[in-house]
Amino acid sequence: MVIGSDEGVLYIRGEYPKSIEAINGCINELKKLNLLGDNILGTDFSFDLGICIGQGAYICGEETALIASIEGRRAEVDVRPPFPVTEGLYKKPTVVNNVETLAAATGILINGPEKFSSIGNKKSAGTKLVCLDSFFNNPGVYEIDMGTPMKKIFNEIGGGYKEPVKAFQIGGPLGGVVPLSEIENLNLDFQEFTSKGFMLGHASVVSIPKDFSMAEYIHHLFEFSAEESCGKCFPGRLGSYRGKEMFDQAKKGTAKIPLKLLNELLVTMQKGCLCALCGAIPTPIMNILKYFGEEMKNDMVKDN
Amino acid sequence: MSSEKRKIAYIDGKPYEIGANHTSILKFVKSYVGEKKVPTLCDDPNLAPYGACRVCSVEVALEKDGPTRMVASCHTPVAENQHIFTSNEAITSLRKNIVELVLTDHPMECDSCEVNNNCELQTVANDLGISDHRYNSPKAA
Repeated sequence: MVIGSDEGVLYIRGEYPKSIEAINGCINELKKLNLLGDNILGTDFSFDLGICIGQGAYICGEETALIASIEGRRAEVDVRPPFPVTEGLYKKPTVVNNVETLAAATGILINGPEKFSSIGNKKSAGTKLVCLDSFFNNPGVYEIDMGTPMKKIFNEIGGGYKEPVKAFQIGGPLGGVVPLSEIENLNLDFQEFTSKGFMLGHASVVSIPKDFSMAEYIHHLFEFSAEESCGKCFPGRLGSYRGKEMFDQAKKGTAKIPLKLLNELLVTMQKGCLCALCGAIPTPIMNILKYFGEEMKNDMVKDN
Repeated sequence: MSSEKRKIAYIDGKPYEIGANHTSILKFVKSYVGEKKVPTLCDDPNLAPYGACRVCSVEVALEKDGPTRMVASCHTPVAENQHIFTSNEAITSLRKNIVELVLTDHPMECDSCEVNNNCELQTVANDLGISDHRYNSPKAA
């Protein structure tokens, strides 16, 4: 209503059938109550919601690729400007938001911004859904006040760890890798994570077991971006693949990791990529090199 | 004639007027300091900016001595009072590293290639001073 739209699209990954089923149920319920559809509650405002099911590409979380995917085009990232708000879906002005943002906006509209910003820290306000993986004694998705100490989330809400862990990847595959020792000093806060070189992102937590090889983990990250890159920009498409090859060779023992070249590659991807997929994959890799470099020193040569 | 105030932006510290045809930083820079100042690979004057090669990256600051950001000049609009830096160590290193990645996915048989000495990639690589890459036995990506 605020933006003058009469149609919304919920883009949900095909890998989440339960989410699709739940949202479908909600849409039908709202339609029955005349809270969706034509002339809502007898007013002249009409709004309908549809679901678009993703076909398995991670890049479709990027707004321009998401729009391309809905239109039936190859999910490739577009240059901005034009931004979707001026030229988006079918070249019409489009607002693209994460459902979590829209859910928070609903609460703000109902209860007012003061109520929302009274929770959490000044800049990171409100609550955040935090997903703890099965290495926690109480895995699950929790809605937690921003600003809550991470150690409280992990130890009290999560109930501690089932097995010894050494680090966590927080915020998805592009989020930072936070060593266990840093958890003490962090709160659930976007700015705080960023200032320490991590990224809170969507705040999912993937635990890295104590005996898991960090070289293997970096290989997995490069493999992920090589697989999921839209293939458009040169540093993303080629850089991800070359990074994966370095760690392929280290795993097989055919070559050591050239640390100087790896660092240059990471900066090139971070600064040069068209979008935040291949542009942000260096974040967790740089974190690992910083905190767990010692573990990989026998696999590396410093001078090339 | 338009009575609008003239708008300027700075290229490597010098002020230039932003014209109506300067639809990107790249066009702005090219029109004042020459075609070769910023290298490009995927840019074509007859096509809309595509933003794939990223070799045209430059640094911009919103004010004098302000924090800079790396952007691809071909699809970034030029803004009033913006400071554009076309070359420094970080920019050159980025361009070199990107072209180096391109060379890892290239036949590298210039001598027997029909476009030898008439090749955009060859020219850009030569201008950046690179003729080979450092990656260990790369496969086709």
